[in-house]
Amino acid sequence: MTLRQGKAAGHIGAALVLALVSGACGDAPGERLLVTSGFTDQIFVLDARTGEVIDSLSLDRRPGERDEPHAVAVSPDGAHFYATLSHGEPSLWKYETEGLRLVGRLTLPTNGASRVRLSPDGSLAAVPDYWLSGGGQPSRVAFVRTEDMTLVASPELCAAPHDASFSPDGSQVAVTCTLSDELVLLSAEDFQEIERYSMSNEPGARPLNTAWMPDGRQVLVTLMGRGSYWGLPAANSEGARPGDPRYVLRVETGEGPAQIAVSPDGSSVVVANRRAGSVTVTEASGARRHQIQVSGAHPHGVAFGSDAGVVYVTYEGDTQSFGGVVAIDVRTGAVLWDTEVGSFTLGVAVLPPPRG
Amino acid sequence: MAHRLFDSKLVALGAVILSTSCGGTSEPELPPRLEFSAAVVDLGLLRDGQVELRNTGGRSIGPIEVVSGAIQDSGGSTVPGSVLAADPTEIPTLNAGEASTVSLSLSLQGSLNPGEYDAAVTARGGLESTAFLAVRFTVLNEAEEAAASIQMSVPNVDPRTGDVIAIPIEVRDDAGALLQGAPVAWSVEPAIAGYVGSSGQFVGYSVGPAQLIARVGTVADTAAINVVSRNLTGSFTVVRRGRETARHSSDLWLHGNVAYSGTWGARTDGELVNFGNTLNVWDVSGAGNVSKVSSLEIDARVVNDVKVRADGELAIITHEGSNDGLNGITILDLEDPSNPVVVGRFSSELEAGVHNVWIEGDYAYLVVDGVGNGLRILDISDPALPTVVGRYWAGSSFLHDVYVRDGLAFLSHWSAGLVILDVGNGVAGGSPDNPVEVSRLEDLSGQTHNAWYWPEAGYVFVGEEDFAAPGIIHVVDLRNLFEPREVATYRVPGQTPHNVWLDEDTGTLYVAWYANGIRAIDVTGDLLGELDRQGREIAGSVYNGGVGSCNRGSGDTCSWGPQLHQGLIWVSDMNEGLIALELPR
Repeated sequence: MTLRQGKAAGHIGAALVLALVSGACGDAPGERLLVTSGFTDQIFVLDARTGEVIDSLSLDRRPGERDEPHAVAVSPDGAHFYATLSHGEPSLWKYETEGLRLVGRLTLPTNGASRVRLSPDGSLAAVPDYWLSGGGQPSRVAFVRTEDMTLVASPELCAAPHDASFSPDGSQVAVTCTLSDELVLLSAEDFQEIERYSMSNEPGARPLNTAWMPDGRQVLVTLMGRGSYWGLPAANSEGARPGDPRYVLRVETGEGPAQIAVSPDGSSVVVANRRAGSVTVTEASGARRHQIQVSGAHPHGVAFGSDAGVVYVTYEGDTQSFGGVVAIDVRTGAVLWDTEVGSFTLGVAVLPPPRG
Repeated sequence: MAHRLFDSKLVALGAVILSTSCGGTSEPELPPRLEFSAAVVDLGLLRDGQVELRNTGGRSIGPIEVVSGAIQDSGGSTVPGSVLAADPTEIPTLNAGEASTVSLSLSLQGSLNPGEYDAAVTARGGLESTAFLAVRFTVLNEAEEAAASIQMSVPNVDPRTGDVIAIPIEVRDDAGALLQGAPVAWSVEPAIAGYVGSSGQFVGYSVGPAQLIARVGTVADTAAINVVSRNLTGSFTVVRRGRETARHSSDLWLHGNVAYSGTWGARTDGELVNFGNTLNVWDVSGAGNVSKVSSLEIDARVVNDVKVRADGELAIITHEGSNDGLNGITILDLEDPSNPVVVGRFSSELEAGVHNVWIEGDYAYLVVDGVGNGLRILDISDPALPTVVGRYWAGSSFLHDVYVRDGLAFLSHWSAGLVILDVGNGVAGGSPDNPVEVSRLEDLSGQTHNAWYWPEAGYVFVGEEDFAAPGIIHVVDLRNLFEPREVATYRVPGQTPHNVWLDEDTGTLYVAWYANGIRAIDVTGDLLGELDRQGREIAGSVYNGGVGSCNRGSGDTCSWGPQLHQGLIWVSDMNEGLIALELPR
């Protein structure tokens, strides 16, 4: 049995109503966070400045079963956001940001659905099939044209791909193959394989998530089984190849690193260490800046907004406690706010301020 | 600072206040509007066709669910087993002004009576717009012109509602020769009085006199029939309770003097939250309310299922949402039934989560969550060292439940329907380490959730867990293992059914029906048509009341699953724990 922390619910709710009435029309609205709650089948919307929960969406297709909204991503123009549902028949959901209105849904030809990543122009979404119980059989990454939610390709790549992120110029997609310990680089034009970097000399490395440096010359990969992230040169950049050990940056984090994010200005790298319960903040060079212990269990998702100085990290919670989100000042390492919200709280993305 | 979840109603109130106090000036776009290109599609003698679905509004809409309804004859009776299929069943999105083609195809079981038939297609874009389409087709008979006389023989008994009686019929030509296979158009007057199947089987729906009409071409015969009441009476009485209000309860299994119940989801109580990480153990000996004698906490957010082997020596509980991401199962030693001891946890190939389990001797049949995973069959002859010996996946959708009997495994495979495997029966040469598909029935409206095979009667009762429509119970005739066919349905408005238990001695089907409580249905005799119109419900009990929404966290009725044990029907209730009721008959 767990005691939930925080103020009495009714008081906060009432305060929010007052705030909405008295101040919302005058103050410029700020960024909002979208947070997936994989166990309650919801997406929560939070005020990124304060951590207050301001709305929620239900993605509960089967109220008697667990559907698990897993990941969420916002289109570059901020007009739409997309979420994956992992359980049941995996699907990709499309919402309009204005009014948080559901406008599309595609059932994916995959066994699972983990993250959703968007191309820089927002025209394509990539959803890997993290088929953990597939016994090591290869599975796919689904590429979906977001305009009409049409599947355009689903190349079979490797065992349990978990993340598939587009390079900043949109030309490549970096795919982590968690069970086969590989990183595969695809062409975003024809979805053909460009490079396959094997970590077979590091068995059990379990590459999980990726983040590109803003200049596109390096892709960072968290290694769940190694307590570190590696920086690998992108294919075809000045002759370097992902497998070339001379160019591999190895940075210790904490145990079980999950998601990783690079600040918009490229100056900071942030990793959520799921098993260690901590967050690692480093310089782009890999130099450690902060190691922050999170209040909740199992840190998972990481996202930056437009402010490179603040990062948002979700924690899943566990079988005894709720999940939540923390906002961290990446310069000082200070926790700015901490909101307990959802259960099996996984993905996080930042919505731009509402228009008007 | 720290914040936490708060009352969503206050958020909604705030949003309303905000929206009404900050007036916008932009011109509102027209809302989305779905329209079919025609209100009615008459397929005539064709069995497929197409129609366009358009968004004539000003904003995009999606996803759009395209749902085809049952086929009805000209009397308005549903034709079991025949379906109109629409493809696609879901359109991801339709932008303003765009159209999408919907293909229609008829799947007709057996030879339908001649006449006109109707079906409906509904396209729903959430709550924003709905379009309706009527589909009509015609079934011709080839022997109509040859028929000169027709005579039916109605048995000289008054059938009860729900009794299925065969109506022999003779059709002759001008020369008095019998016409074999002449298609007979059956009807009942008034139409609500009953239903006649394509092979001339009548079942009465309402008490009183009715006319059976058989027509072939221009000749017809009419016979009077009097349907009498099934005269079922009974009521449930709650006699024992076991309270679990800290957590939501899930499935249950009773053996001897002990009940085992799983737990589900997250239950909040003020500042407290409890997840479904616990197996509860109850002493059900004696009389009066039962008490928890022990509990076992495991690494899970849901213990969805618990099963005890027939010898009572071993149990298996399932893990979903575990902290370590490995999920799997935990095997329990029941030497002391009240205090299960963990033998071990097994998770290889089960990491996606295990939703249901069935134990048959030295084998455990495990339902692994997710598309592509399906069934794993475990050799548990050494419970400390189980090994995966068999695997099966239907090729689409995901497995939800498994029931094993007579060497056959009945897989409730969601959108893939009911799949029957030989796992030792011999009919298809299968075994636990080599499961072989015997047959499958896909056309069960999807969301195939659970099944119970009754070999003596040759029926399978299949639950459809659809929270939207809502779902129903399907009755599948399996007297031919290779040709399962749906023959009957049972529905209760407002809620979807959940798990079932069949008392085969009395032919009573107990269905846990979420907010509709526990229902007892007489399933004796042949089953045909809409059972809920046949006076077959013996009793129903919404034992704790409620608003019909299975409001979790309240004290409302929310029935998960029943089990007949030691003369009582025990119900796992998500909100209360255990309820035991005296049998209604």
